[in-house]
Amino acid sequence: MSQSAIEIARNAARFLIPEFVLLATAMAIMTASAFTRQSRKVWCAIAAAAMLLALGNVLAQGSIKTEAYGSVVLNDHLSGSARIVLLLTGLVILGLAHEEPSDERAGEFFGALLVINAGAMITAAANEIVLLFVGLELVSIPTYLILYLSRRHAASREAAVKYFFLSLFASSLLLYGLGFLYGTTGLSNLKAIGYLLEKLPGAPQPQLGLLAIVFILAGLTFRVAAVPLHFYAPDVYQGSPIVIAALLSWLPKAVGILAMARVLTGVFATKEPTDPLLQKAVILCWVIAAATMVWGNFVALLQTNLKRLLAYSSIAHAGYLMVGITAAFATDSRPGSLFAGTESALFYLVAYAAMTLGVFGLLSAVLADGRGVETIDDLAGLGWARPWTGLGLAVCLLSLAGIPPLAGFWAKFEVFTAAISATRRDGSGIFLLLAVVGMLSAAAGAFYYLRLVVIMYLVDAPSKTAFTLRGGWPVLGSAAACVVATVGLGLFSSPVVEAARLAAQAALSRPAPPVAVADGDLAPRQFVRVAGD
Amino acid sequence: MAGFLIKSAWLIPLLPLIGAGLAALGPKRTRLESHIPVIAGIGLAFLVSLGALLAASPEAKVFVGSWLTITNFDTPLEFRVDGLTTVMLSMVTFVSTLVAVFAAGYMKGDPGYSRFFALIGLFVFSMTGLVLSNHFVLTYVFWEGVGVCSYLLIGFWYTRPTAAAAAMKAFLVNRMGDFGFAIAIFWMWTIAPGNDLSYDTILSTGMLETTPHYAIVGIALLLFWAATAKSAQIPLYVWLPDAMEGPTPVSALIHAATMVTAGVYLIARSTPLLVYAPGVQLLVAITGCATALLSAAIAVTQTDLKRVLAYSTVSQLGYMFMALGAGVGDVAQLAVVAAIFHLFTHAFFKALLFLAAGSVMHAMGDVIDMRRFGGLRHRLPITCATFAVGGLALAGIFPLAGFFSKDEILLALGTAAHVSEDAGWVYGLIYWLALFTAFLTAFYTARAFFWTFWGPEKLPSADDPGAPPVDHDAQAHGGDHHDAHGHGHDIGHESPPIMTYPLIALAACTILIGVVCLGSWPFGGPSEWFAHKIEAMLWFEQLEGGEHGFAWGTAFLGTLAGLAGIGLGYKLYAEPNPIPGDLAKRFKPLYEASLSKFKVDEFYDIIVVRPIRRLAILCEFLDDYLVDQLVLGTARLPRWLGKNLLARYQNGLLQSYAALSALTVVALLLILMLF
Amino acid sequence: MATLLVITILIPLIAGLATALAPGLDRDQARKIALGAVVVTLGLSLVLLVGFRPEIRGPQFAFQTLDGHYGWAWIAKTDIRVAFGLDGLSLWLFVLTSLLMITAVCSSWESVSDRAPQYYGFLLALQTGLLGLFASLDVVLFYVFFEFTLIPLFFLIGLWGGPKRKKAAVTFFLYTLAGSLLTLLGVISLVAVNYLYSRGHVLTFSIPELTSGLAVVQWDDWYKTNSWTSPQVLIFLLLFAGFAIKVPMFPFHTWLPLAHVEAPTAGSIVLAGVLLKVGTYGLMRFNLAMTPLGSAALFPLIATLAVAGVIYGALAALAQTDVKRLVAYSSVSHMGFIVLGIFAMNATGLDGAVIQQINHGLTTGALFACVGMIYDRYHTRQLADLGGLWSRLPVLALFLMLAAMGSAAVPLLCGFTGEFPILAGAFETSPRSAVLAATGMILGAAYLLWMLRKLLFGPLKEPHGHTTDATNGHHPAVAPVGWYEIAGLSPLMILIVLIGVYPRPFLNQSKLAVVDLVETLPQSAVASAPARLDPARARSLDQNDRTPVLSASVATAPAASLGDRR
Repeated sequence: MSQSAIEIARNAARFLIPEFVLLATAMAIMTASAFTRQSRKVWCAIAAAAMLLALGNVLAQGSIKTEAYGSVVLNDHLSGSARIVLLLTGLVILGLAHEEPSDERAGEFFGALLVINAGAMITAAANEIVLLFVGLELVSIPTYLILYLSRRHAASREAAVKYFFLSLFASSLLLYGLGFLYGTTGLSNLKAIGYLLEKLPGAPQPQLGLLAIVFILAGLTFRVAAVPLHFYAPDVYQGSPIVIAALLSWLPKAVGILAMARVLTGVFATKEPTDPLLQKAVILCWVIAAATMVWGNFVALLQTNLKRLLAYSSIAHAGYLMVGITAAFATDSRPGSLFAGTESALFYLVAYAAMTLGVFGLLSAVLADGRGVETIDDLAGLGWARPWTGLGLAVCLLSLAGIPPLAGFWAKFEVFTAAISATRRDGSGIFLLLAVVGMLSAAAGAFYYLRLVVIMYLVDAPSKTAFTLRGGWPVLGSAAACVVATVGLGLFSSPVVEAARLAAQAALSRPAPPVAVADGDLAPRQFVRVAGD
Repeated sequence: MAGFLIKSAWLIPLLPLIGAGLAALGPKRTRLESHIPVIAGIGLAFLVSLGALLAASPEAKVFVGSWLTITNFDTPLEFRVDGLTTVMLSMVTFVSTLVAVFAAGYMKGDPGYSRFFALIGLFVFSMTGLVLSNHFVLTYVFWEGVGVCSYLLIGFWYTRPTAAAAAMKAFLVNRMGDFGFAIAIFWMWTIAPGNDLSYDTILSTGMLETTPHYAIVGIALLLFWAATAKSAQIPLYVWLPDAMEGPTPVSALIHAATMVTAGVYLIARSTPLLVYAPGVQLLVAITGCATALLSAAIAVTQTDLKRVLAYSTVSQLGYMFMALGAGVGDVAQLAVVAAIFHLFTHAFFKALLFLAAGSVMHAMGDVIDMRRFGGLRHRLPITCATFAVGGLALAGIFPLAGFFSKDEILLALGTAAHVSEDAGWVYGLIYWLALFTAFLTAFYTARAFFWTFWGPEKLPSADDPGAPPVDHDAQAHGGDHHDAHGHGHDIGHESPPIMTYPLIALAACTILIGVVCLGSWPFGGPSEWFAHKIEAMLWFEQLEGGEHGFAWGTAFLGTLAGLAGIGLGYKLYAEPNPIPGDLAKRFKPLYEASLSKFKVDEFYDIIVVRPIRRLAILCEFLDDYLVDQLVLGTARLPRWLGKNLLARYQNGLLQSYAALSALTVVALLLILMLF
Repeated sequence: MATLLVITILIPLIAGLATALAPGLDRDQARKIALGAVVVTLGLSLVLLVGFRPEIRGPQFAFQTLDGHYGWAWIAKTDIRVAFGLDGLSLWLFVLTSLLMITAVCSSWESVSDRAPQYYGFLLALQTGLLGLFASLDVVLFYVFFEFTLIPLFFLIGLWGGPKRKKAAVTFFLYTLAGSLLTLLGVISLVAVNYLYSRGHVLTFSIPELTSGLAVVQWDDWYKTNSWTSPQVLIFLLLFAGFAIKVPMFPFHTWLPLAHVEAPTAGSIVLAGVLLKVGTYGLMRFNLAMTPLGSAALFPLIATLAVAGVIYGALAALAQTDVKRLVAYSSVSHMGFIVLGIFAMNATGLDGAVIQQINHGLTTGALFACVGMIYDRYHTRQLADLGGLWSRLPVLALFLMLAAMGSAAVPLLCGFTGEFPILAGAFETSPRSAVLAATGMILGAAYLLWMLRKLLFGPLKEPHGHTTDATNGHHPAVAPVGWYEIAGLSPLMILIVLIGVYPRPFLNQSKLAVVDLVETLPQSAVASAPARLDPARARSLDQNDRTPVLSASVATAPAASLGDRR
């Protein structure tokens, strides 16, 4: 049953109501803050209310039907689950950041947060190249604002500038790649592009397809902080307040992976695994994943600044996520019960959100002798001075290191299972090799997480540092929620695994197209043929 | 009746074990009476052994139960009650009983009294188990068991560093032998049908004839290697002289009469296998001969009475191996009988000699250096008389036990020289060397006897040359032997009856066994009751046998050698005279070599102990500086790479970041497009 | 009984959490709770032991669903399950864990006073980890417990250890983690292979199902014996990485001396007594049972490492001056024996290996407890500082001597019942390695007797502060052996003797499991062949025989590869 154009547009609009709520609220508080002076608490409360409203709306959207080949957005399991997770983590970030801006900048700050969240949600739901790009930019541009808003000293400004320029660079790469993707078919609907590329022989023209994949992937590596566009992360994290670093380590990464699921694996991975283009994509992802894991973990070993260390940790985790994407290119076409690539990457995202936001949140709450913690040595003795905070931090750090039975273990488990099950008889053992590289770098990487635990607990003399907590219940509540999620996901991950599975299948599924598309004498086909010849 | 006697054989190891358990676990107030259950246990075991001896037959065996049972491997607790076993059993339990009685007097007042008797009981358990076992694995179990008891008894006075060192040495050297035994068992296990390692299977003709020759040779060599450790033969004899650090009853029982004969027993038991490997037999004979000669040569210069006896034991064990090695062709049966005869008689007279030495030691306040006493015949008449009986037996003088058994060994060797086709001349040489050893034996026995008991009376005093400095440490701790005895101020008296009666009993046996059991030998041939008992041995009929008459010539030569040795000993040592000193000066290199035991211990120290210690230190060094550093290096590699390879690109420069990223993207694109 | 098993596993964890997190517990309360918990756990383990029926194949005490799967769904879609059960291979290790924990708690009775509630909490958590590990019937569950044990032990070493505890804890943690991450890959590979290549594409994480499934999976033409790139060899190596470090096999053993020396006594007891067995258990469960062809192909390598470990560990032990380090190196040597027994790939060697795991746990646990007793009194472990302790602490002397003799494989003590079959089994497969390994018997006796001689024999020698007062011969007080020390060690001593004297009941429990395991091995066909007469011939035969065994299973299964399915 195909819908009429009006219906399609109406459904899409209904579907996007949560985003509209967020954007409208954002515009309202940004505008209002110019005229009235309110405490940051007010703005924060309004933003939280908007998020809750949006969350309620998302949960109630089950009945909206969107047309795969017509609609700009899709109401499928991927967008549904992703938007719930994004809103929940948005609330967590809001809780962590509720004291971050000064009162005079609070309106803009929380508004920008809402816009970022809206952008991320749009990316998750986008079924259209342009809308996807819009979503991504809705994440980027307010981020500049936030980085700029929080400027306190020269380092912050430098961070903002670096992020701004490199983000622009990445966006241009991405846009270039998206252009090629559009060019291969002349379509902008992602499902349609995927359908055509799967069904048409010789499509896309290999070099053009490769250009599209390379540039899109390169553009998105900036968001997930993967090689080769990861350089900014340490500098920017270090220069930003911890809460902003938390935001940067999570939301862009989620957006990047979601975009990859929508625009890369969702489009290309339905082809035969023997397809040369797909094989090249696998190699590309392989290199990126391996390099990212190694880079992140190895360089993190050198760090003594907490935020810088966590930045490299974030890079390393981008590498694990890319392992999932690599596997996605090779396995996702295969039905089965073992973890598929996209599925594992999506699960990883959720687990990563819990544990990394937990670490950042707890760190942002801790004051050592009245100052925020900067270097790893500032944590000395925390475990005994603040047992519960220390315990929470240790749990999240061990989870990041991948120790069972915590969320991080299952994340790694799924990602590497996906990689290993991509190994084929005829293929050389490159996936096994990737998994080995990943595991070895993870083993090396466990050192820096463990070092923090050692510093927190195994100090020789009783530490004289007086540890206090700041931020009140919103910060502690958010952080505690993350810790609980980290443990809970470790002990009972079935629902999230299931949601990730459905989401990954949704990203790949393509309903039978309407006759017009299937048999239509579309101009793009000619283009494909010409290009193919 | 016979069936009942055989069936009750399982009691023989059990009774001493119960005795040991009672001695060990009894309440504190019974500690001083711990000898009673042990002596009772061993004594009862002796009675049961006598019954078994009467009923013994080659096929008789008792199945007690299963011990170690795994999928492919079964070790039944099964006892063979044949002639060889029961002869050994009777000897072991009899000598053990007497030694235990002796020890009840000798060890009186020692703080470890109950521990001592518990260990003696445990030892008798292991030893009887060893000879009863019908299965190589079970034999191995008890074989190591006697080793452990020996270790614990040598180190009985644990505060003495020398005892600790000797105990450890004994155990380790024995372990080296056990290593060979274990390998032999593994090898047998791979060839035995159904993995059955019982004597019935392994030593049967059917089995041996289908086994490849190299396997037989290998197993025989390994078994012999094991025997050299337990029975103190070259190259593994070095532990036995040191083992004299234990209490003297232990030396008498374990390190003279019983445990050290286990190797002889094992080789005798395996003779059916050995006859398939004549080369190994020759090796056994050569080793035995070399050991006998070497240790006799060492014994002639030692001044420590117990060490003289210890080297004498080594030498006599060499004799037994010579006999076993002579079992070529139709000498096979004779060889086994001769070896076991000698084992049997030797047990009595050597235990007697050791106990007598212990009696001397007891009287001399733990001094055993012959240079520090002399002329004791008046003070210790019973000891002197019994020592004389034992000495004459050792020297092989008619009609004492040693004469008959030594004569038979010489007979076997002489016959082998004729029978053996390839190696006749070797056996001939061994025969003459054995005679020479007999002469040396008689000489050093006489030397020890006359030096100790003859000449002017002399008692040890603290200012003797060569007396060890007073051991303050030992006194402080009060754990040492002589303090507990209080010998220091009451020396020079004959031992109490509880010690002399066993001496008398053993001396009587030494005289009687020769006359009663073997005395008719020259006239009746090997057809006497006792010889028949040994011949009632498993697979004995497999061995070739022939009529070997009594050789008057050999008997004459043997007696001559013994008398010559005694005469020389009398001449040199009956009265203090300068001749021994002169001789020592004239043959200084020889004398020094003998006195320093041919530096064998030092030689082993250089070629075995030190290399292993160096290797150990090397391993330790490697572990710290190579293996660990490799691991640490690997662990540091990521950090190093991160620092030197990757972190340098994180230079904080925006332009460089952009350029690097762009270049990487382009490079990836190009590579993917071109390949 | 299935519930009882789960309860047994969980009791220590619950007690541990209660001890560690309950506010205001003092040392006395904490240790009493801990002792109570371990005693109850041991009691329940013994109930399980009594209820265990050795004649039944497969795991027992396992909850089984109607369709025959074990346990309860954990991650539903992929069929990762929470499944517990015990079979012949794991039963004794399970009981051993319960038993050694009593020794561990008893040995900490007086020596741990700092943050005692947390200490006992970690100790109890470690017990749950180990019990769960041995009882796991699911590979992922196994792995979760496998890794989980790292955390409590990390803190036990790091917080209550010796002067270099931080380094020791971190080294231990990272080293074992590095290996076990690779093991995780191996485990995943096994599941993936079974899923992708088995008939009907069975997705299972269940250990029994994987074992039987992989035995008939088509490794077919991509398996080449002795090829380094064959899948089984690769997977074998991945699995091996973690277990070899855990065992530890030469040359992956360097974490062990460090960790042992720095760990508190209880940590050493559990580490040597049980944690090292995790490695050998894994080698049996995974390497041998699931990649038998890889085991066969890599036998020369494994045997070489095992023998090298036996000799090298023994030599290194011989050179030590610190008793605890000596005992630590002795573990390297003894574990080499066990590995050799496992990869002898016949029932004899495996029987020996299974029982030797227990023996080593008992003897080495006892040795570490004795060393701890000495250290508590004299605050030194240097052989040079000590001597003649027999005079001072006769009970300790008895314990130490029994443990050392048991460890030196003296017959009628437990060590013999394991070591002898191991060597016999190894001799059948490879005479050379058995002979070389048997030298470890001599060297083992050497360092153990050396230790005894230094510690127990000779005149009494105590470190400064405990020396004898020369004027009146009066000794300053050294605490006599306490009831808790006797209580902790007596069960071990009784078992050391009992297993040696009467090994049958102990071996019986594991017999069927071993037979089952051997039947899946490629060499089992060779083991009974008359060709055993000649070891050299047996080896060549065995390589020829491997292919038919494999191809027989291949021939029956229709080709269903991934390529066919798309």
